[in-house]
Amino acid sequence: MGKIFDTLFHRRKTEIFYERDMAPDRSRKLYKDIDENIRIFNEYLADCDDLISREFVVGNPGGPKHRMALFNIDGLVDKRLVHEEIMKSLMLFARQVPLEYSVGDKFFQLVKDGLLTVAEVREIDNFGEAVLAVLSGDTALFIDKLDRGLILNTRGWEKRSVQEPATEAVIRGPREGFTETYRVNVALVRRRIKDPNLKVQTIRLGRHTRTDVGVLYIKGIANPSIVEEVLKRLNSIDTSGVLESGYIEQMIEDNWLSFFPQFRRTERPDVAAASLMEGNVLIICDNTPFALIAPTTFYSLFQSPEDYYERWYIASLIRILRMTAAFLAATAPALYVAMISFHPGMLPTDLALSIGATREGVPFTTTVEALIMMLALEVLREAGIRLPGPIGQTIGIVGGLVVGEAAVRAGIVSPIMVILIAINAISSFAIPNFSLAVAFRLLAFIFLFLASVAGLYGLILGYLGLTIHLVTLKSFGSNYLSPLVSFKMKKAWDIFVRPPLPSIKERPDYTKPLDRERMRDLRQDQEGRGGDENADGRR
Amino acid sequence: MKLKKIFLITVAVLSVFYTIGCWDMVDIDKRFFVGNIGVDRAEDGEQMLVTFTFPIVRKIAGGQGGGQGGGGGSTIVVISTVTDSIHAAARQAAMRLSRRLFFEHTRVILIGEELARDGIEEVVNFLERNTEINRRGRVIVVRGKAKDALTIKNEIEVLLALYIANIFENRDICARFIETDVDEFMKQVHSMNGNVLLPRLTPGKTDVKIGGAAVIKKYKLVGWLEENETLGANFVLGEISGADIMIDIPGYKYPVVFTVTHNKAAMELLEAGDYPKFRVKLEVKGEIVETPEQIQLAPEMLKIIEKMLEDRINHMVLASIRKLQEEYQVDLLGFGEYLSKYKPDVWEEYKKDWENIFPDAEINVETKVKIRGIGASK
Repeated sequence: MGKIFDTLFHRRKTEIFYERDMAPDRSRKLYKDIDENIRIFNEYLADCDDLISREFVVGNPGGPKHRMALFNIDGLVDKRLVHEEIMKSLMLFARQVPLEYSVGDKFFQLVKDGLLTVAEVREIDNFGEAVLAVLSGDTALFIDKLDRGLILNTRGWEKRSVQEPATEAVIRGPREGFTETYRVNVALVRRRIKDPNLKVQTIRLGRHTRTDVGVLYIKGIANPSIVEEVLKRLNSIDTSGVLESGYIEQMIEDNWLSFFPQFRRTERPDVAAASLMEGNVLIICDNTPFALIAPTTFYSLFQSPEDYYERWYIASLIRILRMTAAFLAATAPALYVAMISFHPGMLPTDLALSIGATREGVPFTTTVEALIMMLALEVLREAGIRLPGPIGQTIGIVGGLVVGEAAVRAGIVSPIMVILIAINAISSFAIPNFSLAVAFRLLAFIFLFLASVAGLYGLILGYLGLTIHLVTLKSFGSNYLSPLVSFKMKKAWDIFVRPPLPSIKERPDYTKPLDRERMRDLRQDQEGRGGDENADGRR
Repeated sequence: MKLKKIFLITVAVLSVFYTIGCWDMVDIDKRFFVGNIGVDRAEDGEQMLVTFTFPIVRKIAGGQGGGQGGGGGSTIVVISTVTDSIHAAARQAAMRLSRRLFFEHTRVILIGEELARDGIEEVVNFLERNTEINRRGRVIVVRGKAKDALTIKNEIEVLLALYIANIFENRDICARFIETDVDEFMKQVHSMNGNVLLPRLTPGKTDVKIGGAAVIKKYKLVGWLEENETLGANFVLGEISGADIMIDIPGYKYPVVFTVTHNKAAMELLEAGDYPKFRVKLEVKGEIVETPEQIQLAPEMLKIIEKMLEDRINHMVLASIRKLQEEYQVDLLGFGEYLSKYKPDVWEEYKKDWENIFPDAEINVETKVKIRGIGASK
């Protein structure tokens, strides 16, 4: 008999957990018999020791008694809510319920509308939804003689508070960063955009993880075709689990062979809000502080929120610096090798001589030397991440200073190479987006290979290949190199300089926004009327 | 289908690699950076004595590189070989050297006087065909032997080549020599049938002096222009941004020193008879930098000084032109070029026999001097 049951449960479970669209199985309805409901619910969550089930009786002392059952998962619920607002409310207030309300549907309605002091209450009629809700941190409440149950939002678990984002620190700008909690993250965005047009569509991804994934966009700005495309791609994901937004990113990106990230990821709600207002779609994934922005362009990956908070001269200068850094990160070693091994005539005589002198006695060719140093640096960087904080610093000193200095003294590498690799490494860290920085570091190896085979010629072939790749790359139908490829000089300026805010009157093209106007120039109107109002009248 | 595409792309990319000229990679520490090339007539009177100098980089950049740097001895290696061509000389020298000779940093090409008198065609050929040579190197004719200039003991600069080449940087304050580089030299020597002015170098014991000019006519050295004559020639070429002219004013012990800061030259054809008649108009601007003790530089005085300067420059320029016309009979200051560019119909008549016509051309010089400043204090 037990064996038959086991197989039955097993089949039921597979029905729930391997549903293709991740939606709960709604076919198995609740029974009127509470014992049956309790039994089946317990069977669903059999061997789950973290399940808390509580049966109790409420009712007017003179009237009928109602048996109730309450299910939730230990650790996912706010115990205070369950104690105070559910149990206490039901047990105490049910006593004062007039008799005529104490029976059947009326009682159910009263419990739902009048007795439970929990903010979010939802009615269900099947086990599938109930199980999923309980596993998500809600509390399920079954009442005797009713084939309906209540789902009470009691979610509350140990979570990290809102902290300063670690990977996107700014000097000027808000210090808030996303957390691992989906609702908190959505709220952080909502707090910045108090607009009913900010839409949040939540879907669940992952057969086992059933991760909440939210698609946020501003209706009226975001192009519906992009929103649809995002939803379509998200819904096409069928995987066992989504633990981080990186899973989503890799599964729905346009070109998985490319080195370049096709999503901009951010930890900052202000960046998320800014991109929403540019017409982007934001994908927020539960359990990770990293939100994804789509579509993305190459140049937006070079942007930091500070670009728009600082005055435009500074922001422009920094933006140009970042571009330079990216160039160095990708090509510094290759350029050096090409110059030293193939075209020493292109260097100034003094420089050529001093480089030649430092290379005296170095046993390796420049290429091998560069390769050794780049690999050493990558190892050091990786080791630095793994090691616990205090030791990490020691390793940095030992690896960087001691080994570098010793290698030079031993005559294995030339000091210029050490300088160069250091510049190369530092440059790669000046790129705001980590994924992009990694892409450039990878490119550095490829460029190094090309340069060591064919000198500057090889390097130029490499640039050519890279340009071809970037030009053909798309992110959700938008050109990756936009606005450079659109040949609108006015907009292409935004790549290298950050124009003064009053002059950015339009939203960028790559999001294909429905509403292009970002800003109306009020100053012109004021000047039209004459007077110095704008001197102090403007905000 | 996709495989085919990948195959085609691979073939296309690989095939470009065959078109590169710089396949062979030679690391920087496997090259000798030849700084100077000296070309002399060998003792047998037929072959050439080619001298290369290159630094021992280990010694000059001090310290690093295994710590064996520093120490005494010369930092410059001088290596000579007797052969028929400069290129062959580099190959012959390879038998005695551990590394490849590398010419992209060759700053100075010295031609010995004896060889220059016999003809500089071989040097021109070498410069023209060599793919490595630095196009901004200096081509200089040495009074005496080129090797003598390369064996001087000079420690002003770490590199002898830098020392010699950087002297040319001073031309903007002292225009008493000709400035030219390989590129310019090649252009002139071909467009003017081997007539060209080259800088002249006079070697000393521990230093060299670049001053004056070597007059090359039909690829052969025919004589020199002395320093003052070179200055005069430079006025006609309109290339002076700094040169001092001293004039004595009667009654004062010390001269007035005038320094030229701007110089414009314009030619004009006045008459085109059997022999052309030219006028060279010079516009000279400059400052007075030194004066005798008590002189009052009132406007009237400045007028007088200007006049004296004009006469002086006229005289100097005419002397240079006369020397080229009468002694060397070669048009090196661009009179023929002016005609061919601005008076092509006139040039048609003279073109064939220009060598014989030029020495008899009548050339006037008209100078206008403007004093723009008289120094910091009154």
